[in-house]
Amino acid sequence: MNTYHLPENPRSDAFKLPENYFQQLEANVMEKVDNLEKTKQETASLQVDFWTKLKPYMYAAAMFVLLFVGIRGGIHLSNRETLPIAQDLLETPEDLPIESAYTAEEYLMGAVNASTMLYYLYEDVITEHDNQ
Amino acid sequence: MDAQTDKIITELLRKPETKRQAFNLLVKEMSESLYWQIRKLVLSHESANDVLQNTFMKTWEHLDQFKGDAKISTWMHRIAINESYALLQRERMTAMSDFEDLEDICLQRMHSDPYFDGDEVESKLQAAIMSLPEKQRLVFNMKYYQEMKYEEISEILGTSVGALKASYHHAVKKVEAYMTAELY
Repeated sequence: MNTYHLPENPRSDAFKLPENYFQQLEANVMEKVDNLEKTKQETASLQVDFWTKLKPYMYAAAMFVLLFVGIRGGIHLSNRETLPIAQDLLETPEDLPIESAYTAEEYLMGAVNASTMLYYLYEDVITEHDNQ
Repeated sequence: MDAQTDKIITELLRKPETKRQAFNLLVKEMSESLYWQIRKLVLSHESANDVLQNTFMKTWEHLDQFKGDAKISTWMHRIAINESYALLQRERMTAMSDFEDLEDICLQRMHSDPYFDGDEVESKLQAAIMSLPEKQRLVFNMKYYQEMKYEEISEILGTSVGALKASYHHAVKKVEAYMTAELY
C-alpha cells in the first residue's frame, strides 16, 4: 500500500506575494507610525491649549470664591463684635431700661391671644378658676 | 534576526532620538519571517497583510511595555501569533453564525487568493495542516516551513523542547495519514 511521506523540503512557490511587497509594507507601516505620532502630538497640544485657555478663568473663579468667603467672614466677625449679647444676658429685668410707653392694659391685651379669649367665657373654665 | 542585531535594535529603541530609525530597521529585519509565520496560519495574503501591519503597530504602541526579558524578535513573534489567532477567532464567530467551518473558510479563501499557486497535492497538504489542533499546527509551520530551531520555538511558545519535538512528530504523522487517505 502506498503511503505519503512529507517531503524533506517544503514547496516554496505555492504561496506568492505581490511584487515589492516588503518594500511597500515598510513604507506603509512607517507612514502609519508617523500618522499615529502626529495624532498623539496634536491631541497632547490640544489638551495643553485647553488648560492654558482655562487657566485665567480658573484663577478668576478662585478669586471670586476667596473674595466671597473673605467678605462673609468679615461681616460675621464685625457683627459678633458689635452685638451686646453677653451684656444682655447679664442684665436683670430690673436693670433693663423702661423705654416702652405701653400701659398695663395695653400690655395685657397684647399678651393674651385674642383667639383663645372666648375660652375664658365658658362656665367650666370660670368654675375651675373659681375653685382654685 | 541574529542576537547581536536584536540587542542593538533594542538599545536604539529605548532612546527617543533613535526610536523611529530603530523601529524602521526592525520592520526591515522582521517583516519576512513574521509574514510567513502569519501567512501559514491565516493562508490568504490579504489577511496576512492585515495581521502583519497590526503586529507592527501593536509593537510600536507597546514598546514601553517591552521589558527586555526576551529578545524583541521573540516578543514580536508572540504578538504576531496572538494577532493571527485574534483574526481567526473573529472569523470563527462569523463562520459559526453562517454554519460553516473556519477551516473550510480559510481553505476557500486560499483557493480564491490570486497569490496562491498550489497544485492539488499542495491544496490537500494545506487542508491536512489545517485539520491539526492549533498548537500542533503552529509548531508544524514554524518547524517545517520556517525551519526554526526547537530552542527558538520554545522561547516564543514557552513550551519545553521535548514537548515541541513530540508535538511536531505527532503533527507529521497526522499530516501523512491525512495525505495517504486523500491521495491513495
